[in-house]
Amino acid sequence: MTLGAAFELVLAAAQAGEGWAFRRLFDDLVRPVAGYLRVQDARDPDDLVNETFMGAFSGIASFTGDEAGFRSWVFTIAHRRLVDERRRMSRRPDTAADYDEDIASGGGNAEEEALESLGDERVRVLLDGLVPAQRHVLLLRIVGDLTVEQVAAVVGKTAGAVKALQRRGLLALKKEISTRGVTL
Amino acid sequence: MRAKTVLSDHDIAALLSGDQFDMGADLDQLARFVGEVRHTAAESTPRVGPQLAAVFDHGLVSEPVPVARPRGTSRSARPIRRLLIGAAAVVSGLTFVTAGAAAADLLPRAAQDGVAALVERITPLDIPDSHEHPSRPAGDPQPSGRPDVSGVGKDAPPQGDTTGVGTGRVGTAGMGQGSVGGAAPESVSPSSGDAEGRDSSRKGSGDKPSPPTSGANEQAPAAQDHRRDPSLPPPSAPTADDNPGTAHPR
Repeated sequence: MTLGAAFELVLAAAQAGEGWAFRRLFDDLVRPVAGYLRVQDARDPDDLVNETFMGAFSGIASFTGDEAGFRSWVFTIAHRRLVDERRRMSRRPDTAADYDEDIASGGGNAEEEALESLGDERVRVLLDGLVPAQRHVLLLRIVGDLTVEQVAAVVGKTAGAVKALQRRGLLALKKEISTRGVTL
Repeated sequence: MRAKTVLSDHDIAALLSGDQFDMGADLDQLARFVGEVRHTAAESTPRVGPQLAAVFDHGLVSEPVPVARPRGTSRSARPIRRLLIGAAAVVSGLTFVTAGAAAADLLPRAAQDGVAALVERITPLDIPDSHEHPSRPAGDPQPSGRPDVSGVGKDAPPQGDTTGVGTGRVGTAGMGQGSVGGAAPESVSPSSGDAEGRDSSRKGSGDKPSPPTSGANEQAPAAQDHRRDPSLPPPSAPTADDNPGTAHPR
């Protein structure tokens, strides 16, 4: 789903502070952004999604560009939030209290989440076999629908480096699928 | 079906975009995996937090949030502040140098009078002006070797007091010849005597004889008195015997 020709109007309205415009931009991008964060196994994807869009909306007055540029910009924010979360988590490993808190906050969705996680498990097992840079690039290309150049801007690498990463990542996945005999 | 060990750009583009075409069995598995990833991601329906909900309901003033800065440190104010600091530093430096030159009586007469009047008005310092040096030509700066006359007002006896002249000479000689038993006047501090000794020893070691320049607290009034009253005998140039530096080399 894209806004197409309406993007400029929606962007101008959002830059003027109109709530409906923010809603349109959010609806347009929330699924791929949330999917990217979820498949990346973010600890709390919903929180990161909210942080990402609040960050984007807070700075939207300074944004200039087209719809593709806006998409790339929002994914850049999401990716940085994810990297920040990884850094925080590496400094402060999960504790039993955190685990209990996670279960408590899950509430009535625990069963549903468990079922979803079973479905995601195959994907995650294979993605975990990739080095982080390969995983970032492939997921931004697949889930974010970003071009090589846009991915390069998001992860701060050259287009050539992104092409090499996606090639090596796909070959690693192909090898892993063949080795494990994973049925998809 | 052949197994591909190298992926072409075309294969990669097709895999990542989800295009359906005959890639071969090994790439089919990969294509299905990519489809699974896309499907998994599409399942996400995140909850909207209260902040975002408020934005959707009420809008958002999306101007950049001003960062709290100390007063006067905004980016636009920085160059002005730097300029003011620089100007203040230059003015302070010039003031200090001018006041120092005035204290050393190094300025031209007109400037010396102005600075002396100003400094004496706003500070308790006593700066010499041209009235204290009537023989000095206007606009002629004082030679750099002139003694520090800032101390004259403190230690020198009142003008016209010939006793002071005599005492000064005795004191100078006495301090320099302390081991000989010269009676140093109590008004002369030992430190000034030491300074005199050092200076005299320097001048006495082959330099052209000239009136001692330091320790002139006592001799400067004598010279002035002599200029005023020609009947007074001229001040004698120091001799080798008077030169305490020669007598007691340090």
